[in-house]
Amino acid sequence: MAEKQENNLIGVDPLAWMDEDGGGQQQSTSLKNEQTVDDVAEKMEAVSEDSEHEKPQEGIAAQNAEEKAAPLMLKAVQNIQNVTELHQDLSTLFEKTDKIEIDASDVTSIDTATMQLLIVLKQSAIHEHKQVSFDFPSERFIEAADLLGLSAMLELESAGGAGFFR
Amino acid sequence: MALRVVAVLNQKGGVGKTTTSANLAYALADMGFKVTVIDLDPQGHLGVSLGIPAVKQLKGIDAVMLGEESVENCLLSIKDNLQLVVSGRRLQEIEQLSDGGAKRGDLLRQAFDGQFDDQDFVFIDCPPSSGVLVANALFATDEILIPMTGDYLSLQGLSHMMATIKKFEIALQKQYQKLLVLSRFNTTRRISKEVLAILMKHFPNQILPTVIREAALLAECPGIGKSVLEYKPGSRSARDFRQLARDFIEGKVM
Repeated sequence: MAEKQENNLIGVDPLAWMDEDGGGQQQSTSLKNEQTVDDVAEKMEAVSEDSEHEKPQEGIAAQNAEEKAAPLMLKAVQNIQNVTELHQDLSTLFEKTDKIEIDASDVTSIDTATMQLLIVLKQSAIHEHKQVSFDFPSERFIEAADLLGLSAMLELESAGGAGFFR
Repeated sequence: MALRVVAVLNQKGGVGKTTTSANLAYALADMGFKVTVIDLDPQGHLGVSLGIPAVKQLKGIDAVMLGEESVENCLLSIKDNLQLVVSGRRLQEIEQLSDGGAKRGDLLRQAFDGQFDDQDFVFIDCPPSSGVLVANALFATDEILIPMTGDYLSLQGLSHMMATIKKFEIALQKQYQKLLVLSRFNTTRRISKEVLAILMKHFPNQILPTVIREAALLAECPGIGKSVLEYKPGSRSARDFRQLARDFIEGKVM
């Protein structure tokens, strides 16, 4: 994170995580951004409609490919009858990749056996420094996790789309 | 040219989403492009800003998303080359939909299918929230225009929004083209300069170089129901938006 610099009005850069995360920026094929803040301020004072902008970079930048996460879709009904199959799928993914994205949008029913499996997965991921996240958790999934007091452990508050589909 | 669907998005309120949507769309229409603006904010302010009083906004994008009307039946002509779909009174109901899983997020994209083939641009004016409506906008578009003001809380809001967008990019396996527009900006302020410096660091070549300067005139326009280009075409704000439109078309960034 950016440290507070003396005399700066902005102590901590809220966007610093974007650099640390290695994403978020669309990298341009052009080289340097040669405009400064003062350049822009100067231009603002130039009210001429026809004024040219200095050194514009053309085109919207090409983009960095996102590091691919292994996706897994939970079934609508997740219970003891299919938990073994889920366990196998997750074990395979866990061995193969450092990042697992679990789409929980279709879940209409989920039992404690499955929840237990997901908690173990989360804990194992922490020990192994891997990432497991839940995308688009359905109402029922969130409700079940809340009831069992597991929402925080599953990090559903920061889940992708969690804020969108609540 | 191929249709560009652009979501005008920032989860923080008061950053100029509706002002940017209305005036940029108007300027592009003046340039001869065929433009449709969609008011996806239940407050219905885009419609008001373009001269459609709230009381007349009975049916709009709400009915389209609920499958009750086609987009074609909800289009209102604002001027040559510019048409509007108002929000409609039931849009808030869609924001609160709790059934349907991720499919709730795909209503708008499905409704758009093949409806704007004769248009150059569709702008979606998003609400200042992170609910189902914004999810629909993100499903329907590949391009995001982010109005930003020059204050610290805007940076905080942008950080939150970028995290959300990133999650969508991963989940939908696509990368959005993001463009920032500096709105209600006053770079004579020190804080604005510092905000701009941070934006330029994190979003190189993704910021439109024309700054929309803070002006009392822009606050007057919604009350008149006209874009600033129509209300005061010779004003500094009108010039800002005309230049912004040119930058947008020419892909000029800083």
